[in-house]
Amino acid sequence: MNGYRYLAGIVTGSVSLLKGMRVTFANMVSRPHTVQWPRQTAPLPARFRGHIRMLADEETGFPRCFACGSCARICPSACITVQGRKPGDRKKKVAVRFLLDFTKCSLCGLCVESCPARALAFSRDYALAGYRDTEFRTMDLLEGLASPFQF
Amino acid sequence: MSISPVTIVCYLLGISAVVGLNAVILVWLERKVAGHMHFRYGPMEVGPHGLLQTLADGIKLLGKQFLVPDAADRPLFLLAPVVSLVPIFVAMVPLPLGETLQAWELNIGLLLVVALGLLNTLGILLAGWGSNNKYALLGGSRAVAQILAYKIPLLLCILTIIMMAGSYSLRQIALAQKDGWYILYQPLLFIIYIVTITLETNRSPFDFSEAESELVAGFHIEYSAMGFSLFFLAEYSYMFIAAALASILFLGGWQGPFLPGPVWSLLKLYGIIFLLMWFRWTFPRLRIDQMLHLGWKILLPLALVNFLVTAGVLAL
Amino acid sequence: MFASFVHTVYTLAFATILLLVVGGALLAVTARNLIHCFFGLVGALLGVAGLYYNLGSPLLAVMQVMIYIGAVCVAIAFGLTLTRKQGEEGMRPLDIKAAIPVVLVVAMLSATLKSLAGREIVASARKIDESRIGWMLLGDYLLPFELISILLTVAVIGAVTIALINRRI
Ligand code: SF4
Ligand code: SF4
Repeated sequence: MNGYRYLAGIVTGSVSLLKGMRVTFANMVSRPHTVQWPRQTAPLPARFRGHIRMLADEETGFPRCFACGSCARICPSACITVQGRKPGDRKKKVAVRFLLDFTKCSLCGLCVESCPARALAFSRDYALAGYRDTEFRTMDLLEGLASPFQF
Repeated sequence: MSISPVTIVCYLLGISAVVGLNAVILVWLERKVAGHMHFRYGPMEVGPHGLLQTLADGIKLLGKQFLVPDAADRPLFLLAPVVSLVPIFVAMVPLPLGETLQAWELNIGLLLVVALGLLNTLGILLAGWGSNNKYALLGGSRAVAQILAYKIPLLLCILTIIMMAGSYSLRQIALAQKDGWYILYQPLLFIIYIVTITLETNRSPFDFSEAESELVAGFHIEYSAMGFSLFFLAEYSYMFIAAALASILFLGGWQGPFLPGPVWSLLKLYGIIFLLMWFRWTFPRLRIDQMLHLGWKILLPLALVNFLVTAGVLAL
Repeated sequence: MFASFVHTVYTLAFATILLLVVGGALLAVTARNLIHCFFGLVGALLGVAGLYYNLGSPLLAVMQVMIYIGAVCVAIAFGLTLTRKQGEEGMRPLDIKAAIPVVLVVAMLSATLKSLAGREIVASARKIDESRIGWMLLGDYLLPFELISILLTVAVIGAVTIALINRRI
């Protein structure tokens, strides 16, 4: 009886080893899952959250933000600094300064949701790198947007 | 039996080339196999498909500083990598890799290779003891416990083959398989042999003396730069020798249809090495008592029974 | 010129072997660190293998490596790694009993040398067929061979018994 158990143990053990080897071999001949960044990039999911960015008004090209300060108030980490001014010919203010402290941002999205002008959106930037933290402490979100104020 | 010094120097150069190239290729292959078994690619950046990665690593290691710990036993510490590596140069001498590709046809070639293969443990023990480090010492003493468990089944395997071929000469053993490889007559023995060489080359699932998850790096924990590379070279060269021996003992060595002999040799040899790599990336490490159980209670009786049955059949 | 070069190489090789045997043996008995003694022993046994090879018996040389280094030394090493104080105990001062082996060795050596004195020593270049050794061990010398086996078995059983007795106490 013991002898039978001994032999049966060897046989079942060997079979289970072979099963394991089959699994790894199948892995080996299947396609690797690795994405060879930066030569390849994985498709970003549709609702990917990068740092927030400022949207431009389609007509004027100015920032859509009218500096109501709602986003700055609701931000749990106090990341946002916003200042606006009224151009002479219009009623609404236009943001002249919109700074994001990305080092504290938790990407919660409250600012995006709270904005009455729908001026904020998540960017799709993920390859961010810098030499010092100050580069991300005061990110100027108005960069690259037109402004009604010519200095 | 006088050999001119020039020939000896040529052999040494040839063997060094084999040792070096083999390590370069095997390290690369190991990382590739490991990668693909994990759904990864392995090295891809240096050279096409990362082929030159090992070379780059080697150059990096050359540029590093070789440190000898203050508390280490200096002579033992320095001797250990040499003791690991030197037997390889001798053990490669009688290996026939082709009809005419053999440094020296020796009528006791098989014994020589096996005897020198056992010396590897001494190198590990030296390193373990000389480093004066608890992990290294544990690794060294594990290697010694390990050799006791696999040596007898290994010798029994070899004895069975010697009995079948009627010769100690590797060349004669290969030639004796002209009409049928021994793996066909002795499949069980082949499996036992493969398990014992996995034990002999200290590879997972039997990498007790290295055991990175338990002993950090085991016996070579204190070695840096060239000392470490010598151990690496030795490890992969022992794999080469063990696989070459397996191909000669069970797969007819260089013999095969169509292709030239050395190509067949290398194909079989690297096939067996691939098998060892496959084991390594599939099986988790055993506990040391499980290894002893395997060696003494499974491999030894099986090899012994196989030996006696073979002897009986041959005597009939 | 070339022949003399080869001769030098062989002489050097022989000198290395001798150095290994004598140096290793001396290290084995004088070193204060156990592991140094152990590797002295390994060196000496390796040197003896070299001597066998030099005397024209590669088989014996390989067997020497396989059995004495691969088996005996490894068994010793196994014991060493399990010792508690690794070579820290100093050697005990020699007492009078140590003289016994010295006297015996000197007596044996002098007897051997005396029996060799006056004879011409010729290196035997005759190659002995390995299979003949096997036939001799299983034929003419079967009885001594088996007696030695029994002796070894008894020694092993004795060792086990002693170990068991010590454990019970
Ligand atoms: S995403 Fe959240 S944390 Fe980041 S700026 Fe907007 S409100 Fe603040
Ligand atoms: S909530 Fe919208 S409109 Fe108001 S300050 Fe923030 S970005 Fe500007």
